[in-house]
Amino acid sequence: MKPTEFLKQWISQTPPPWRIGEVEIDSLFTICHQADVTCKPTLRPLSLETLTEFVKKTSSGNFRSLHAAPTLSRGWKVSPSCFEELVEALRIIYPGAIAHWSDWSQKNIRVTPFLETAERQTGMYHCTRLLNQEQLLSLTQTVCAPGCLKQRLWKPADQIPTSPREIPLLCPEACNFLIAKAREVVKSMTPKN
Amino acid sequence: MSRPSLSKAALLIAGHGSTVNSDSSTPTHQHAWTIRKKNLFAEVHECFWKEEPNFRQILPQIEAETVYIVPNFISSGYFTEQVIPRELELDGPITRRGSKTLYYCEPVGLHESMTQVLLHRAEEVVKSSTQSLRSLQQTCLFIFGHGTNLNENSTKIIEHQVELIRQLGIYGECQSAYMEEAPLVKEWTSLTSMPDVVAVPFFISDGLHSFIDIPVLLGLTEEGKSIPTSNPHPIANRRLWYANAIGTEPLIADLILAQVQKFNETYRIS
Repeated sequence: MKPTEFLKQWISQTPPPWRIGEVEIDSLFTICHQADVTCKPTLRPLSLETLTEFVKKTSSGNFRSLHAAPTLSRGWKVSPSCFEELVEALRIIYPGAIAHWSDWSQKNIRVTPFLETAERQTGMYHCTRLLNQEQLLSLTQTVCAPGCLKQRLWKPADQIPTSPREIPLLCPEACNFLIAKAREVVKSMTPKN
Repeated sequence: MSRPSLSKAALLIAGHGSTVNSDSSTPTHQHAWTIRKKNLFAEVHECFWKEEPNFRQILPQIEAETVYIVPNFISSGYFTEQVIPRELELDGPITRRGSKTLYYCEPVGLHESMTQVLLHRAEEVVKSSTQSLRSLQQTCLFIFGHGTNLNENSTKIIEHQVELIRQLGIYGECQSAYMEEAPLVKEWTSLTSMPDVVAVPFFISDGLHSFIDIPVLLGLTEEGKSIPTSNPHPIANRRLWYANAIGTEPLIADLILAQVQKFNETYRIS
């Protein structure tokens, strides 16, 4: 089943509101920050196009290069007019999330071990294959855990919490942000000439 | 462009993005929205090397069976020849994987119509200013690039555009200059004797290079200060019009579509 069909079926079988990451979706498909659900009428309405740039910044204007970072701004809402626009909005807020969840739920997800991701790197990230297991574990604890809401499927994997009305944010492969951090660790261990 | 051939396909625009500069991906998002509103494709997606959606995340969320991939890059090179094919697991121009067919088009910067986009941007930066050129024949059009002695391909595309514009004979002069190799941007006043100069940075977004580094090299501003906003800038008895990066030009959306059309023609896809 394709991700959008899977979501449509889940929505038809699951009473609202639905949650994903930091947002909540009501029965009319209105999306807002979970902390703003009680003041929905006062929230600033955003178009999908505006949302694209909006989700790139924290409330203090800093760049959110990771969309699953727990730093989504408050004070906005998006009101998709149809299911297709809801899918589009969720793709903007949490890219890839619906597809990963759908594939994982249908036991069809491809999980890439860290070493495979590291060994694929070329150029300045080629050195990331030298990261050892202890350093990797440390990075997942200091970078992934506090900085991203996704649950790792690659080892060291997280326990995926299941909640009937919540779509989990899943991480099937180390992202480039983590790869960049891995490079920093490896470089810091390399003696300078 | 005929609708029926694309209406069931997806368009995927692949950009570089950044982990530090939120503006880096903005032109790619804007071009995607421009195309999305035309309703030519069943789906329009964008993906990035340094941002989300990432190259690795994007294919599972595309549901169309035919996907046109257009790199929103100014030239071919490391990213378009190695990184994108590797991350998207492409076999070449045409990749068949399961029920999906992936068409890998050329980067936007390589399209023949880029010359017209450059000329348009040069014309617009003057039109939107408070002054006019003396005449086109007394004007030098500069195309600025990064340049690096490590890769000659990085300047080839700019030299090619400069040659095409020279052949048109619209401007008195057309020249290239680079940040890191000769002819150097910082020597622009000695590279031309024309009284009016229009400069277009050949970059995909208004990032560090076009917004900070080059203005400093031109003498428009100093390190750590912002660029004066109004063109033209009076420098060394010249008037200099400095445009935004070519990748921010709205016409780039047309080039993305043109690369899809070119791919269909090249590979006879109907």
